Amino acid sequence: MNSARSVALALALAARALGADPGGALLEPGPAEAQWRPLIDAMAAKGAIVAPFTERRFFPFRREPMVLSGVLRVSPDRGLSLEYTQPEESIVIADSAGLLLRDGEGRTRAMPSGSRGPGAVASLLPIMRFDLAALYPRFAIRAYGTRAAWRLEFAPKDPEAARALGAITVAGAGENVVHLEFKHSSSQRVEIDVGDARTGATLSAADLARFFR
Amino acid sequence: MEPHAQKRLARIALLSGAVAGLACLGRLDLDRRISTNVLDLVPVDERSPELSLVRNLAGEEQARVLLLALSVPPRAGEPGGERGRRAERAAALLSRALAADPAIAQSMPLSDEGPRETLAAAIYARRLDLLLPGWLAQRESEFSRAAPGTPWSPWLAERSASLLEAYLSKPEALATQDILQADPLLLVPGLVARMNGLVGAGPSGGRPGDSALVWARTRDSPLAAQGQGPVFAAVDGALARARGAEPGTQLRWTGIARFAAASRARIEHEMATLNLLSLALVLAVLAVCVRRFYRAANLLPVVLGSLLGAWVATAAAWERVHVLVFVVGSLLAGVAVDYGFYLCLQPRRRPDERYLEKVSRLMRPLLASALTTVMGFSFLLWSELPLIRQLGVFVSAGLVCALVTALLWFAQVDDSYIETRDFVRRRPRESSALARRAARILLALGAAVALLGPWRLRWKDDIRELEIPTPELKSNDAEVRALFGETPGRTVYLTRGSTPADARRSLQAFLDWHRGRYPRVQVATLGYAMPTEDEWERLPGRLGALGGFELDLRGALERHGFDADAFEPFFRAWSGELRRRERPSYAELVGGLGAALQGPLASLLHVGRGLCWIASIAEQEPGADPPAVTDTMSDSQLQDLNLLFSRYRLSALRLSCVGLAFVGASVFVLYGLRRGARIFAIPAGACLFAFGLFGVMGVTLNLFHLLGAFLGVCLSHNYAIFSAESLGRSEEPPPSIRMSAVAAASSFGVLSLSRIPVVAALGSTVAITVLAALAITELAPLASGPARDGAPRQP
Repeated sequence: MNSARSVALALALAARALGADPGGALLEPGPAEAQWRPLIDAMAAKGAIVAPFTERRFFPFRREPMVLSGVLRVSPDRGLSLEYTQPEESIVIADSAGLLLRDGEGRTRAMPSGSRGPGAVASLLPIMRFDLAALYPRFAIRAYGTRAAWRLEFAPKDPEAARALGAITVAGAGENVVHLEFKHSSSQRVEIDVGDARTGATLSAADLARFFR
Repeated sequence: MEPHAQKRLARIALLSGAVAGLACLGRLDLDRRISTNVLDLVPVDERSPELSLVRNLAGEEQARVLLLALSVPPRAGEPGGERGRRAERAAALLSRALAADPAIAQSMPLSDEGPRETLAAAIYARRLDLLLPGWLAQRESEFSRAAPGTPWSPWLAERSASLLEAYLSKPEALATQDILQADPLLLVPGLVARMNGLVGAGPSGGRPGDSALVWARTRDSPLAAQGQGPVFAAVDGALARARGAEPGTQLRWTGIARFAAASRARIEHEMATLNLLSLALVLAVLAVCVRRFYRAANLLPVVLGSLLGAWVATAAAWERVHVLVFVVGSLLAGVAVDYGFYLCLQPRRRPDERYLEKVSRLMRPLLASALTTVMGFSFLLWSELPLIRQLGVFVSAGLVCALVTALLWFAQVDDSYIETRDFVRRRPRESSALARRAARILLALGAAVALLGPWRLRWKDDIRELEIPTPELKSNDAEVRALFGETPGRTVYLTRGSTPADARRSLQAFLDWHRGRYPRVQVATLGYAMPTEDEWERLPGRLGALGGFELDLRGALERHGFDADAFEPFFRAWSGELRRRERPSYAELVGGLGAALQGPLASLLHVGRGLCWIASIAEQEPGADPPAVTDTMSDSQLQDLNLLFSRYRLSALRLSCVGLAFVGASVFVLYGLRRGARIFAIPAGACLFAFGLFGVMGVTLNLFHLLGAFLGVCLSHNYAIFSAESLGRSEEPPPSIRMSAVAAASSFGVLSLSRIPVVAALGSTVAITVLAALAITELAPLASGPARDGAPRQP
């Protein structure tokens, strides 16, 4: 992550911590989203994205988080793909057909989409597409900060989904997503730092075949 | 006997027989006795493993399953996913309506997580019983292979902590993190990973797109009438309810009931059509071949008497008779008419020749042909296959009744003679060299086909060929099953055993075989959730050797960055397991797992008295069949039952050969060696020619070609005897041979039009054999040249 993005992230998190904008703006269809609509439209129109990421998984029975890293890919047509490269290779694909796991040897298997972990990944797809029409029925969305350093919080409306997924936070700087968090409790959460994104990237046919369904 | 008394006696006998036969038929509950279930074609006590499995599947709840897929029309501007949600609501309505119908035992939307959650809860609650024995056996095997310097318990603890740490980096760790504090050995996550094929697709789920899926089970067997009509009405009613809430809802559904109902309707239609067509053709043959056509009405009682006798004998002898017996057997008309032809196409030798005199003159060939045929078919009574036994009785009884009816009927008719038209009797007086050469070439060609063709024959039996194919239903079935996750590129295996322990042992053998044969293909089976009997019995001993494991594991967890105290739920359960004194028996253990299977998941495991089976799904195209030692059958093996029917075919072949040997022997006894050989050469040559022709044409033969050949041989044997008898009296062969052959070929040729593949096979074989026999009978005298003494030429 470059320094400017780190600063933006730090500002966003600090703003949250200091309660500079305690309520945030509740996004809803209509005038309520007007302030955020240009930013969201800009992010939704970015097309394909390729970015490195670092994921930290916090478990209540483990003193330190598990750290994983890899490359995140978003294809407007094919969905979202998380390519884990460390500590072991695997690919998680979230698309309109559900979730798919592909191991290092290329074996694939579908995953139940209702459960917590995969469910979180599945919810990433409309979030990374900033598809508000798809998100409004499922989440109460609050926006914090400014265009330079912003944060969106997604609270599942369905109590069962809320119990399974917890709260989802997406933080960014300008038109870039820099941080994602799935928080079930303070000791049970997943944080993803998104590195420099190549927006408008072209995904080759080989990439599409390898990293998507 | 005076003619008057003879007529009276004959009429009394005919009437008595007809009344008795009809009364007997009237008393039988034919609706109950006549079956369309293909499984009624095989013996009730058949021990063939694949058949007992199929019978079990057909009789059990699996056969009663209905799969229903609903879709609703899209709406303009509808948000993504909303159409699917509307379909789900419609599916819930339809499912509730189905569940309320008395014809339906159970119904649930496939999105209902209830069955999966019940199974998951049952496995989780009993994970130490179900999964720990196998886990310990696997780790012990790894320990033996690694042969480390570390003692067993510390090694196991270190290995467990390493695996847990590695697991946390996997995507699925987030889904299972809530149970890891009670399951750090990863018993349940390990099972989930191996069961993926069952969880993501197949019997428990699918990718329906915009469709919503409903699983239902009927109360009655789909092969019974109450499992068809009322079920169809229930589906129609439930669809109307769904359409009330979501207009335009479309439903596609499948179930064995639909196939069974369609099959029954088509077979009934086939019976009517084929019989009428056959009758029309026989009448057409008569109209063309005889003068004063109306006199041929005398043949009708012979055919009716034959069929009545055949029906009574067969229906009285068996509690359940498959409708195919009557479909095939009804063509007995083509055979029965032979005796009528033979009797009524023979003119009196002199105007005052009495009927008894004429009959005694013709009795020898009539009896010889009828009794040898009956004897041949009687050998089919020793067949293992009920269908063949029933056909044997049907034809034998029918032929006896045809002969008796013919003798009695013509005994009470003043003049039964039917004069044939000239062309039927016409035979060349002198064969020209050209005709002789042509006949020889044709016979040589026929001989070449008969000798060379059979070497090219291929045999394969498929029980599905006993029914009329229903491509539209099959296509619909494939589409609906694809929505439920049953896509091509997967193979379903069923592993059986007489006890749960046997089945699980065989499953292990199958999994070992599959791993060797398809190393990159994963097999998903609920069997992974069952220890083997050996693992279960060795569990107490293995636990006894791990008294210090808790301490070892706590240390290892700490070393790998875990908070060991957080795993207190596991350590409590582990201590309880070490102290446990009583455990369920292996059968109780598996029975408990089976009891947790609800709805669609019930197809994963069956625990029954005397037969248990475990389903496995492999992500591979059907390929090599598992070896017999694995007691495992793929679904394709179960669908065609080729192995079983191959055995029946061999059995039928043996019986046919024995029957033919007796027929041949009786001919030799009656007619001597030389004439007997000439007589027997005609049916044998015709039969070989038929098989040779099939070989040349590349037709794959089945059991019914064999039965057809047997029937064809018996028919052509009649013609050979009639012909030889006439030649023995220095007479021209009777015209009845030509008419019988053409009539039989016509009626059996009609059978070859049947949409039931095996019926078509039988019909075409008989027709070809009969025509070939007629051709030999006609060509042989031509080919042999002019007779030196002016007598008719010997065939």
